[in-house]
Amino acid sequence: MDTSTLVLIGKILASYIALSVSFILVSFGGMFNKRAGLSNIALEGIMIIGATTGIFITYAFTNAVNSGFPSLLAVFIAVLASGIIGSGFALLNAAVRITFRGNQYAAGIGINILGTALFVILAYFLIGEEELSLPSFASITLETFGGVTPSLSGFWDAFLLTAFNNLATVIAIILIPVSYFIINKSRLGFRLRAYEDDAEAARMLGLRIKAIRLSSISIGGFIAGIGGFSFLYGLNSTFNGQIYGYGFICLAIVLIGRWRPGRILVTSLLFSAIVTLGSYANEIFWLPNFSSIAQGDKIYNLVPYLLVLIVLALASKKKKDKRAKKIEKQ
Amino acid sequence: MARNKSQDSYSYWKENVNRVLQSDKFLKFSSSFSSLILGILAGFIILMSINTENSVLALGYLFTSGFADSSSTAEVLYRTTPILMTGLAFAFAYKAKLINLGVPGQFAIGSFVAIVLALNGLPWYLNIIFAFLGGALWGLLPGLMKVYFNMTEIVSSVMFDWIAVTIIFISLSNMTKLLNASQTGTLSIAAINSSGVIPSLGLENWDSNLSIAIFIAVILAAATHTALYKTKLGYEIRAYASNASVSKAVGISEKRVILNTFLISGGLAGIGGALMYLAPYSYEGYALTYTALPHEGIIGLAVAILAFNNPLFCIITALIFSYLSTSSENLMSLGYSGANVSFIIGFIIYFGSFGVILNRWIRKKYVSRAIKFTSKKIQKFSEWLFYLFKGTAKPKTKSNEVVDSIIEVANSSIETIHKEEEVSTVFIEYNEPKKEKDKILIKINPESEDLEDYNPDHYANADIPQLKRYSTYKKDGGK
Repeated sequence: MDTSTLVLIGKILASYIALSVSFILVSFGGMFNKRAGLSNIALEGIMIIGATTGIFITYAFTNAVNSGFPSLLAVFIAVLASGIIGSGFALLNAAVRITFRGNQYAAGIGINILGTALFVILAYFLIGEEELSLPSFASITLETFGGVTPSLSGFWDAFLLTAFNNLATVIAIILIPVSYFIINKSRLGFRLRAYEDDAEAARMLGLRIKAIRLSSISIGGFIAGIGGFSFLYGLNSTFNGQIYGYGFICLAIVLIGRWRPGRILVTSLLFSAIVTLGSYANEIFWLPNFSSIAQGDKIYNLVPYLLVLIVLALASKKKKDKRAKKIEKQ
Repeated sequence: MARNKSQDSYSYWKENVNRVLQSDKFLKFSSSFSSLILGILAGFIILMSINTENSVLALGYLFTSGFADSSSTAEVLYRTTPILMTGLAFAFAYKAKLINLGVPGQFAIGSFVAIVLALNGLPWYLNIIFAFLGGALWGLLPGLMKVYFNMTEIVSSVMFDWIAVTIIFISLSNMTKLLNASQTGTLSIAAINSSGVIPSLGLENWDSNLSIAIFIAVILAAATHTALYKTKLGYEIRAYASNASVSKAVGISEKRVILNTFLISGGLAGIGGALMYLAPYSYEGYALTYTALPHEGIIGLAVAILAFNNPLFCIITALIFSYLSTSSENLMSLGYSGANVSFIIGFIIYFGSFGVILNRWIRKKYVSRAIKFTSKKIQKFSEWLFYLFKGTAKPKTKSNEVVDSIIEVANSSIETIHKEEEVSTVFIEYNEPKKEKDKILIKINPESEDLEDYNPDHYANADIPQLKRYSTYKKDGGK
């Protein structure tokens, strides 16, 4: 194979990793919420809020970084803040569901609208534009470590430099086994599963159900917020406060994966593979590029939505999970 | 019984106020109103944190500039139309406990169909009918997914939203004849096909896009109300929403209810698109975009939530929201972003989602206490006034209320008086006396049969709060 093909493969693999990490994180966040009995429509809003927080905090550090503040630390703070704000907004939704027993769907849609509006207002106020992209120091290059920027010549350069060019991806890759551990091995996960099996029995045994649910939801919000921030790295264009229904796609992934971390991992890897292929369709020779139609490349934007519809139709034809029914009653 | 006049009117007042406060309608109204106020308050906080100097002025603009001149009033009315239709679509679907998040997509499809047909020369009424069909068919898709694949309508309808927006973008990009010179939006309909726009009957002289569309929307709201509350379909929908399994057992087909609901809901949203874009005055046309859902579709949710899914109340809430969004455009002259209104709307939807529960809780915890407290104060004040005008000092007895309640209790249980040698006693028992304390002893002078001839000092031992409780207990009918 010649070099350009290798570079292309490297680029595709890299953006595949960035996108799949975002998908996996947000779906894991949705899983934590779903297991606590909160069917979180606000996942989209939490993604937007996480991305917004990340963008503005990295912008806030721009001057500091230029005068010698370590850029990795700045990005780390941004990642942490986006997670914390995300968990705050997840708890806003949880308050409606658990404390007030109100309409969780309406609350979720409210949070989605809030997210977009907050981004636009802040962007207009702080920077004066309505669309933003991350500042350049937010990506890790060899410059970050004091090296020189190499040219994107070979497969490994293209792959390594664009796949692991951000701390969000690295943190995300660490978070995947961590959340698996939380669900399946930790004390909280054990109690959460006890709550899922039979809430009444768990309550009788003296477990503090509300505290368990709220902590699970806040963990989910934290992970989903970071997922929203890492989505920015997978985005080719500027961020305008819209996330194009990807939060709902992650919600669907949770349903398709039947709330289990392993299945969710596999499903999101599959989804992001197809979405990535769609976004690189123009450069891959064996995919039709619809050049005879004006704006024909936008046809590939339909792929994730259609995929959700098809896969969810196949997956949810069976009867509802007993567990889901039980939790919906509470 | 010796009751003075002021006390009577006072208790009448108290009962009435309590009745109103306990009613469901007041609860709903207070919930909507408080979420509106809280949302505007949150918006004001954002305004303040962005630009403190202009924030009060901006709040004033938000409240007044919608009706500042005739053209902005007309603009408010014009913008009410699509919001009202999408609100009706949400409300209709929610009456069957279906959350139709596909309203923005159905709205977009409706406007697309109406614009394309109008630019090709069809008259306005046909355009509206085809927009209804387009929206209805697009709305049917998530319904079919739910019925045949058991798929949750929340996820699938959002997917259909984005699919609709993308498909419209691609197909309009290919209809270059219908686009303006810069290829960013469709041509003005009024310039090409004057029969394609909705007749305005002179309303366009108001320097606006206003036409009879607003009347069509109001009539459709009334029709939706009738359909929900007076027809068989509406009855089936409400029955299915209140208890799905019972309605199935009675013979109401679940499939039919779901499909009909999605059909009508989508159709209403589609008509909203047609009514918005078939405007008479020089209108810019549909802006080509695939990165955002139509804003009107999302505001419709707020309209429906604040109206508690009642189609007629949707008219009022749609007016409120179109007023807010029209006047918030004037905020841009003060240097604020136009997204402030969507921030307010997001907050309103959020608070509206648990407004009833919050209000009930507040009422239970604070309002009833406050009413008790204020009513006591008012009673004391009115007594004071009464004796002030009478010119006599207040007699030094126990408070009239206590005496009255004792008489009331004694009257009601007069059959159970046992005459003893000197003193007759009345045992008033609760249904299940748990302690000895709950039995209250009332001594009555046996020489006089008239109960009003008592000496209050005899009752010093009676536990007065419990007596009161007894009387209220009796009123409720032993619940």
